[in-house]
Amino acid sequence: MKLLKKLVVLVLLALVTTGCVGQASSYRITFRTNGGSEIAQMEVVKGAIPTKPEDPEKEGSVFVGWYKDAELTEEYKFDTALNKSIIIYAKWAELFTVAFETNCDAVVEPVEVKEGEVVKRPTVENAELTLMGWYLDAEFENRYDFNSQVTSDLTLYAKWVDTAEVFTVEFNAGAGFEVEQQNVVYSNTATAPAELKSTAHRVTGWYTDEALTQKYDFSTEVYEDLVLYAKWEQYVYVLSTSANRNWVAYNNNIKEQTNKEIEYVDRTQPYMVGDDNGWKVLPIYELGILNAAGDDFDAYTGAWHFTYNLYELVGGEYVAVSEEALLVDSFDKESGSINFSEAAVGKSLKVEIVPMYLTARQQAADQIGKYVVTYYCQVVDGFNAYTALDLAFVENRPSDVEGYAEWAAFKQEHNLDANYHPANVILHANIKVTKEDLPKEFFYNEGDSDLSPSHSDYARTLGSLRDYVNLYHHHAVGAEFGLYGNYFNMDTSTLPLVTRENDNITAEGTVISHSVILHFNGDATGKVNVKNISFLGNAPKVEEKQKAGGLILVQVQGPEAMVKNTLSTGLFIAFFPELTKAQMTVEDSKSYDSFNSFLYNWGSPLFTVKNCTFEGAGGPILIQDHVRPGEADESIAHTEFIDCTLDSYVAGTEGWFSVVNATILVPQIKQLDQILNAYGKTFLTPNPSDPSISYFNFVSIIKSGNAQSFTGEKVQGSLTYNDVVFDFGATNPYLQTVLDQTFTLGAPTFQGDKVEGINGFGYFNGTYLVDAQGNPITDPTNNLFTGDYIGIYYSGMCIVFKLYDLQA
Amino acid sequence: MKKSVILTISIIYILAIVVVGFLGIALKVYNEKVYVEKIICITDGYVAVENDEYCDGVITVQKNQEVVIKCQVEPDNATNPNLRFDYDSDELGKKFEFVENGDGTCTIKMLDSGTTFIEIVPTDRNSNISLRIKITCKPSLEDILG
Repeated sequence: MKLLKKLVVLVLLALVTTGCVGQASSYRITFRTNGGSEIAQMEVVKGAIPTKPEDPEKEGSVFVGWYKDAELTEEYKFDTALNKSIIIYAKWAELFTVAFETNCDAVVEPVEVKEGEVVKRPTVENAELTLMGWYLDAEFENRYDFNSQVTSDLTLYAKWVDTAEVFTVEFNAGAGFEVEQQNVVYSNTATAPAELKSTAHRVTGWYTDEALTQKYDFSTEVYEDLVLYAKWEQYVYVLSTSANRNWVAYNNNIKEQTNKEIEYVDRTQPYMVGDDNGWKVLPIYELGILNAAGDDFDAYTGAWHFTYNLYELVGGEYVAVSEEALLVDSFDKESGSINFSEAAVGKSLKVEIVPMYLTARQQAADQIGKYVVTYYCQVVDGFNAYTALDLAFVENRPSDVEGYAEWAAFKQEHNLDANYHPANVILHANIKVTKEDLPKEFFYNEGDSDLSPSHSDYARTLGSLRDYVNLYHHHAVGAEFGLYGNYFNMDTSTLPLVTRENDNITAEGTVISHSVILHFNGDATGKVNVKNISFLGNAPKVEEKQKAGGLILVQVQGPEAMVKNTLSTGLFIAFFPELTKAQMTVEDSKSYDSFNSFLYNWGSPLFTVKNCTFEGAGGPILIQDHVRPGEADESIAHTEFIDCTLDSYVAGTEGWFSVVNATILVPQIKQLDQILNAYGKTFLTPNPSDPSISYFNFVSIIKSGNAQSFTGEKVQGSLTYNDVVFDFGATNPYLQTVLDQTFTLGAPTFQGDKVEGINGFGYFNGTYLVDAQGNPITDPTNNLFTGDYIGIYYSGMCIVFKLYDLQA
Repeated sequence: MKKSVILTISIIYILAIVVVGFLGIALKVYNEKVYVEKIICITDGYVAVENDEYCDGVITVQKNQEVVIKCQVEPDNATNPNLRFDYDSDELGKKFEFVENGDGTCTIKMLDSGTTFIEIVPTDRNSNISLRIKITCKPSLEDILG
């Protein structure tokens, strides 16, 4: 029974105990202060964040904080709710006293510093003495480092020295360098400054005398004020200089050439330099440094400094120009870029570029010439172009002209000032123009709305040039603009062809391009000049018909235009006056190897071609159209050749004939030669290696812009070879008479280039040639046959060929 | 002339469609120009360099040593394979002597220490294709320091 009572009591106790625990409403924090003042236990309501009590205190110590563990490794921060009762532990740091013996009248109070922290350097002044530092001992043997942690009580002793015992060491570096003065205490040593180095020189030592005879030893104790002088020695040497590549290219381009095709007609034009930006005259140079053994030079790469001498051409001699003349805005001694001022415009100058820091030996009179590079120029108002991106400044199309937005975006993308329109653009290098140098919208790109992979021409059109694109459009109104080449090349030979005519899917090999490299627009108040430049196009004379998608070089619509002293190769068309009423002149220029014609006159009445050479077009040298005949706005073209060499032989199988569907007409044309053969003349020349093949020197074809083939309509317009006019009878009644026969009988009319009265032309009546009065022409010395050219009027066209004697 | 040319032309016209329209296009009856695309120097001692702003290759010579510069062009069937040797005429006679040998080569002799450049350019047109060779004659200590 007793046992049963005990069991009942135990069960009841257990139930009471368990019930109490399960129902606890608060927790307790117990504080272990580790020798500090006591902190009472804290009751914290379940789920509440405890409040930090006031810090305990402890003699000679500073309270650091409360920690969760007795080892004081994890800090307790009173920032989370309690979920159980805890014990936390106080951490203490020792507090050390740092005392200061100032050794003078000043008093510095001791400071208390926590263990492990640093003591702040006290401020103390003494009017008569200089504080040299604080020491751990009164004998000043152990200097105190104020960066060190305090781990014990300290007394620091101030060391004072008489100001008179502190010496200054000044450094006279020269060469524009400054070295900070040093204060050195009596018997201490100065510190050698860091290495000083300029472009070619470096300091190899410091000397106590200006003559640099007494070298200073920085291990020497200082007992007086010192001034030390730097000794600079050259360590990089100029081994050689040469004129830069562009200058050499220019000089070679103006030499007489073995291949006359690349020889300019006029090789005397001065080298032009614009005043808007710098002219890069940095020579090519090689540098060297002495090798370790000191017996040879090792190559050295680095920038160098140059200076310049300027001379002006006065009375046939170059005279030195002083700085006061203000002809130069700036000269960059490192990049060698000289920027002429407006005052220099119009002047002919000689510029000597001289490397700096030459040795005495190199500066000797018999040596200096090896290192000085000389350039000559004539300064003009304009911009100096070195890259294809620079050609963006040729471009100034008005905002309402197609392509404006594309160029504006392109200029912004390439940090080109869209508002800068120089008076002239002058080339200073051979420039190759690639797609990347032009607005991408000028080409078909992936994702363009009008180009789909489903298009039959997708593969050949992707990346191709769009039709009717003017790569560079210059608007000339009331001003003169020049593109001056300085005999350099502008190479567009790798630009893509046009594959879609007028942006319509076009069968391969049938496209005819209308895209232009240099398009000049405006009116007769403006003038454009293109001079002393060699152009390379992307459409040479080939049978490959795709080249008909090539580029037209110069198209003029409005302003007066002068193309002078140019070379052009591989253009679809070289020069193209289009309905321009102002004078356009092509002078002293040579064109070779073009797919189409060299000259295309579309309704322009004032087109003069003087002292030019044209060889190797795929079609005629000149195509001329009478535009919109009979309509109110018809435009009658006229071209005048003066002293030109016109040698362009075609067989009739060139790509141009195929593209314009003229291949089938070639036999007919050649058949006409039989008429002339009877008089000992021919316009055909055989191929020496294959006599079955004959060529004709296809000078020109005048037709109607409405007629893409032979036509019955009477075409107007005229062509002048020196003083002889081929004009459909507009100025010659005899020619008019025989031309009437052409249109009534369908008979071809012939005209020589030495017309004299009735003598010099006739028509073929089906059996023989007759003159304007119907008389047979039997005399082979008739002026019809004695000139250099023969014009054949036939079905509304006038075709002009070179005329030769018929060989036996 | 026995027959009317007009008549002849009419006949020829029909033939032309057949003959020229096919054969004329199929056969090249004139020589298209083939331009030089590459120039290769085959002179002993020529060392090609890459990524050099100023030259494509270097030939190192001694003072007064003559070197013959000989090059080949590609393609082999270039219409005009001739080459032009360009140099700085201001340096001619002062820094070097130059002789064009007439066989497509040239001989150059450095008269003094220094560097000059010979640029070999095709003569077929004003092409941007060229090979630029640096001829260098290293200066002695005396040349520079005296």
